[in-house]
Amino acid sequence: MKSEEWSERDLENLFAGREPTEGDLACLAPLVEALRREAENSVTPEAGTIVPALAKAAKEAAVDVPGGTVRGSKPWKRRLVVTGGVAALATVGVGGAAVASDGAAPGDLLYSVDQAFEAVGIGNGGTQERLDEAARLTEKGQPDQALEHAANALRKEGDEDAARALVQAALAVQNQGAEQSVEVRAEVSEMLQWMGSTDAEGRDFGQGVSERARGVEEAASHGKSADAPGHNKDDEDDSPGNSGQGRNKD
Amino acid sequence: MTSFGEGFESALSAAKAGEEWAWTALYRHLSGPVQGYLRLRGAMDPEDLTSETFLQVAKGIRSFEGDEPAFRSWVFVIAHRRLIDERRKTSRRPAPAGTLEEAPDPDRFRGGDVEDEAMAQLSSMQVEAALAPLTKDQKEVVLLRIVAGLSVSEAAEVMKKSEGAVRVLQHRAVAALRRRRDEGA
Repeated sequence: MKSEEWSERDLENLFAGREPTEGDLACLAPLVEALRREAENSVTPEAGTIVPALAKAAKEAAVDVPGGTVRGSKPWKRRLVVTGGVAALATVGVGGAAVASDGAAPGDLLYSVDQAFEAVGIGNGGTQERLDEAARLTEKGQPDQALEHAANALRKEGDEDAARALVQAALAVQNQGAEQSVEVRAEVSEMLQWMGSTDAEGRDFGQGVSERARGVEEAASHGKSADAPGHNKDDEDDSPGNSGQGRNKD
Repeated sequence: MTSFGEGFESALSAAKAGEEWAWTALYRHLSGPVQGYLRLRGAMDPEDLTSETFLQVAKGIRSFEGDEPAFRSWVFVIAHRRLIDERRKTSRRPAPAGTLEEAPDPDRFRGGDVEDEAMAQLSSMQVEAALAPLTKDQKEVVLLRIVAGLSVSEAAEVMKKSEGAVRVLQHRAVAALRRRRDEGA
């Protein structure tokens, strides 16, 4: 049997479509080339048909138009459509205060103003706004608080299982001290964004949240184990002959 | 995969503002790899899933901060998640005939000089057959590294594994592919 002690460099050359210095790997070059062609030759929908929708979605997300992107049938989305109109009228009447406070996250000075406006029926309110606030907490480097905030919103909607999964993820982030992990923040951000845009309902929604919450937990624990000297749980099943155990970036 | 290059930063800013030229550039740069990855991972409707992935990217791009490799990695995290969603939905329905649930015959990928030449023109089906000996994780690493063009660290982020684990998986994947060639030689 031939040696399988290829160097890291040889594998990188192979994957990058360059000639491996180890002749033993050269026979796989055509397969790699075919895989690369798969990406280049994939017939994707014409840019002209999808790009306007992408630009519109990005623009609406940037402007944060109340109710502007709402579709689907989750209860908070239906409410958002109704309250969005109210908010639009209200923001004209009370000047910029409601608009300014609407972008506040818990802990910000304007957040209490935002809550006060909502209490009297001004501003979006509802779960969608809570999710937006949670997203802002994530951007501020507080993913654990973002998870708890989103959990409270889901609990009010009656999604108890999904809320529990989020609380568990928040605890994992806190316990691991992984608040500043880029990976954790990316996971939380993706989850919140999915929660706000998905059409999944009932069990599908709960499962989607739970899976993503597990992803957050894994990211948190991965962050910790990666920092722990001399331990890497994923390497425990290393095969003999494996030579690539470095953690250096490519 | 070629890099977007120096224009990435301005394209990202413009994409956040909803500029169509920026979305055209980002979409043209990444949609092929995304769709290729989804198709070879066995997505039922890779084209539709690619569109969904980019729509989610568009909705969430405002909160994205990072350089081009981080962006590419983020896009593939979303594609990966979309694939899981699709699988969850379809797991409750009977699989239609002709899907990748019917594993390709690995014997269609064998060694030999004649095959060496033939591999230069591997069809999509043959590529799928060639990857059949790999485990799910090994296959994912290979697709993320080659089709998606991700680095080890980026692939590790998508797979929620350590870089060391990804290196082990890619080494084993190459060994498995190499052994398959030897067996057929």
